[in-house]
Amino acid sequence: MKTYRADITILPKDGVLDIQGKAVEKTLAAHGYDAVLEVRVGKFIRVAVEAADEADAGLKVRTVAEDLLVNDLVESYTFAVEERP
Amino acid sequence: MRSSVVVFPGSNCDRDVEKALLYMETGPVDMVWHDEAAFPHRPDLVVLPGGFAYGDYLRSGALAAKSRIMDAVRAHAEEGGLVLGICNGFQILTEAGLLPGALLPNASLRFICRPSYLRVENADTPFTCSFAGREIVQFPIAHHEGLYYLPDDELDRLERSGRVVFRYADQESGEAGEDYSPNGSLRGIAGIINDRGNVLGLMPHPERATVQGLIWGMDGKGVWRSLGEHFGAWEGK
Repeated sequence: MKTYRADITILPKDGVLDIQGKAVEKTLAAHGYDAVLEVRVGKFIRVAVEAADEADAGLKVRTVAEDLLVNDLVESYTFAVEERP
Repeated sequence: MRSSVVVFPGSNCDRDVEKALLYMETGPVDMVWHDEAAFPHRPDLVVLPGGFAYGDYLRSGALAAKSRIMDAVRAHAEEGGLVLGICNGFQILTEAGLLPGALLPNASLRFICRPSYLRVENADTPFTCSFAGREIVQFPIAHHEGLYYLPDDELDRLERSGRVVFRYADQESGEAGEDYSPNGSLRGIAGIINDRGNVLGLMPHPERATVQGLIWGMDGKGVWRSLGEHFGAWEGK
């Protein structure tokens, strides 16, 4: 077994009101940051998992994400897995 | 009616619910720690109280929904037993999948603590049978994540099946809907019931509007009175 690090990014789903993102967006606009078109505020979670290989690590991360870390009614997620030395 | 009130680490309305039930003389009340595998006595009613279970970490109610007692709550609901989730308890029920939807941060991004006026949209449930249909009542709210969200088509289904039980309303006109949501809740939804009609969740606190002498009025008594009447042979207040 090897150890992998998974970095999970969680964002409000498109179409779900992201009130924090809107508030940050408005504040940036009020400060003249015209180049900023959109802001979404979410979460970042880093987990270490024990797995046979990278595919197995991905499977394990997906399982915990869908069971607890993410509420798939209102959130979507992506993740990247990397073997830890 | 025998009640069990679940106590999670971070619950802070558990004693208020116990007090309200005892004040209404609905029957014995067991306080049950979240890490128990079963209820000490078979309950007629299980209450998931308000508070900040697990510090609201990750998402409100998400960690509490995985507590050991929740297996017993789920089994109780599957057998048709009554479950009432108030505020954080409502959030826990949605996270546990016992009620549809999610409670998102208030549109104002502020914690709101104040009286709220509600219209009883469905007085044909065990939790509301002592109210008149479309009656306006006042239960206070105190929350940061109370914006009820469900995709539009599912909201339509919820409405059509009469599962919106409480809606934020105007005290004077009796009109209800999103315009009266203190928290931006879609369609003014303050409380819903499951398909089977035995699991109810609401953001406002009936237990804070029950005992005489508190500043929040006493409209909340109607919820406990309804439950008492539902189980019959009740001589409470």
